[in-house]
Amino acid sequence: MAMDLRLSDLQELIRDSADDFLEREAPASRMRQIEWAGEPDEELWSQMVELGWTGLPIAEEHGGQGAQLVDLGVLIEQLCRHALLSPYQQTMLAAATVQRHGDEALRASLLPRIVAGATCAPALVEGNGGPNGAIAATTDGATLSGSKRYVEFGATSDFHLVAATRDGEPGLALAVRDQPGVSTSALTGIGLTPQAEVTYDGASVEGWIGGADAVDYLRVLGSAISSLECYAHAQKALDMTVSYVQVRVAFGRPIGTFEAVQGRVADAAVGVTASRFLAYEQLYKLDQGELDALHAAKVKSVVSRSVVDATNWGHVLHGGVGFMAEYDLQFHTRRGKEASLRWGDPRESLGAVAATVFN
Amino acid sequence: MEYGWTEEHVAFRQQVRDFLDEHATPALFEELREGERDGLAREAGEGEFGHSRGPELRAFRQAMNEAGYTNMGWPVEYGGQGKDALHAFILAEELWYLGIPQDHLSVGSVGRTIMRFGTEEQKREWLPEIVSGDMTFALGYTEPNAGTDLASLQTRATRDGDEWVINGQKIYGGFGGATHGWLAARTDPDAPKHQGISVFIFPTNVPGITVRPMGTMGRIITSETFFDNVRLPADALFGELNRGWYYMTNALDLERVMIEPQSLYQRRVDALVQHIEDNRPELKDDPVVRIRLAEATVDSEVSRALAMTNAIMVQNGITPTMEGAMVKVWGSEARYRMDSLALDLLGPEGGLRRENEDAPVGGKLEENYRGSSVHRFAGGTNDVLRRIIAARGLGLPRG
Repeated sequence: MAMDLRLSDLQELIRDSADDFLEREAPASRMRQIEWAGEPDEELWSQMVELGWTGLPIAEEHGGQGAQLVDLGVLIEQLCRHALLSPYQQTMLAAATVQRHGDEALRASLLPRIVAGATCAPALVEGNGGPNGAIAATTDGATLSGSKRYVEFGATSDFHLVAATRDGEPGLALAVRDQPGVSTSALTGIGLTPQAEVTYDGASVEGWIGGADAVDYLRVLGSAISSLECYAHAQKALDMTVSYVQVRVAFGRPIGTFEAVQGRVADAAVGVTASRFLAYEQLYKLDQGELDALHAAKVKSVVSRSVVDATNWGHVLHGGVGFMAEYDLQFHTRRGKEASLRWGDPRESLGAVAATVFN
Repeated sequence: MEYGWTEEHVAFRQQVRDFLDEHATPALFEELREGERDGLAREAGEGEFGHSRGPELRAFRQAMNEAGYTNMGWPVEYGGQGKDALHAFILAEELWYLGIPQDHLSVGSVGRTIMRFGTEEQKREWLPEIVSGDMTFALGYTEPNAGTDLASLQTRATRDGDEWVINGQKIYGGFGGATHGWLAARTDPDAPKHQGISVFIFPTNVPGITVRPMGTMGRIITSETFFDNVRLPADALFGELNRGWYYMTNALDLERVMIEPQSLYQRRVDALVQHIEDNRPELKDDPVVRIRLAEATVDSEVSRALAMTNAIMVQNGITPTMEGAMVKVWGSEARYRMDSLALDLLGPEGGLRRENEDAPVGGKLEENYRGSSVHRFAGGTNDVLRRIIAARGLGLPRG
């Protein structure tokens, strides 16, 4: 145990190698193509698998690298900074949940396949109920029935990890997507992350993780990853804005010299700095086995606000150019907002805090 | 990246809490409350300044010294324990939560500056007295025409034989309540304004000093201080001639490290929640109350994140110039919103002054609100700190 905000050697390596790779292989033009294709770029995904990214948080006994969630966060931050749309976050969330709560047989069956490139989509929300809404989907251990909404990469992932109840007990069912009992229809959202409405009609089940604690872990880690994404988009938007106001000249000098501009940038930076601390600290605590849904809601409330401030003040300070689709700031504005809406939106997060202000 | 308190830090916090259970007595809090003046009500003339130094607070200070807390961050060679920055952070958090005044100015800023730049004789003579509380400092920086633009100060020190002669005026300092002055004065009027300033240390009871108390709209009495041919011995000059600006900014940086721990904010939230629980239970079901308090709880997390970021950087040996400014800007803005929120949620009851027996939190909420603007400009106004964040932190060009 210690307190240190500096990246470890491993974390620096992850950050720099991811940045190099994405700079080279994932230019913004390709990101635009991926967005409108509505599905992952298979070539890019296989390169990510080759780099070992899909095994990062998975134990060595299952072929992974056994890194911490904080290390995973460093990689996800880079994916967000480069506006890459891929099923990485979703698959790692499902994998980490199976690794923590699945039985030995399930871990041994699924995790090596994920390391090798299989994708898995967590499916929790029903209707507009949010991540804490009622779970109506049911399973008898062999088959699964129900419907889920806002399942990211639900139409293309190899597996779904589906929250359901079995004899009244909540848990998570693993199902292969490509089977007659599973049908999907597409939803498109503000960040253009492919989403699906999924119907399970007697779908056959590959594995079952019983217990509310497994579902809670999925919820809290989902919230933690989405908070990290909010931070990452906010940080990138701030960085772009800091650069831009130094080169944009108006009234004969860089606009970054104007006190009003500096004040806006400084206030955005305050929110981003707090968000960074809270987002990584939360992953660290999950690494230590501390699961705190209320704290996750507080963190989500902070980062949701910061990403809106950092991206939208970024737009105001950029002026017209930042509003153009061909300029990359808009990726972070849309993706950051999208991240704030998944795994506990600002209303749900603040509501969770409001429910506990009095004894 | 690591975010875990060490066992040593966890144990230290518990030790501090045990200490406070024993020594932070109801009598201490009663004395502190009685010592808090209503700046509005006091009439000009003789008066008390700042916090009282009654017997209870003196006894508490003595217990702090005996426990080694007062200067535990100082190096061992100067009587401290060489404890790391997170120890100081934990202690400050716990003391602030209870509202017990701390001598950061004398022990933290001036003491450390003396340690760094003073002569061996000054260190030997003064440092123990600073720790014991027998030597306390009034900061002589601000003048009527030099606030945030401190380097514009006009108080003059001129050499006359073996003596320095001080003439000028300082304002908002604590010259009425401290044993010694830490004064910035111009010693070279022809030099560029940052380069002609020196610092002087001297007893506040030397002839020629007149202190006029000034009531504030908040909870404190401050003063303006006039220096009329005040004659000081040559050795009242601290450090080198015309190096004052350097010593001042060094001391200011040290002062900023502990300026806004989360507990300063959280105790306001907790006091308001407790008052509602005890006296206004009908508000607990009001959705506006719940949501506004939830927002305040979220703001408290931001305060914690920034204060921790700042403290951990100090711990890691990194100077948190930008982060320290962030702590101060955010903390003071959040505290001001919270102080207003408390009154907004309680309505007319929230505005009741301390002379009403049933005033919420003993009338402190109303006083908090009256005093809340001062933190947004004192110690460097927030708009200038935002410029520090932008220029020194993010690298934006200076205007």
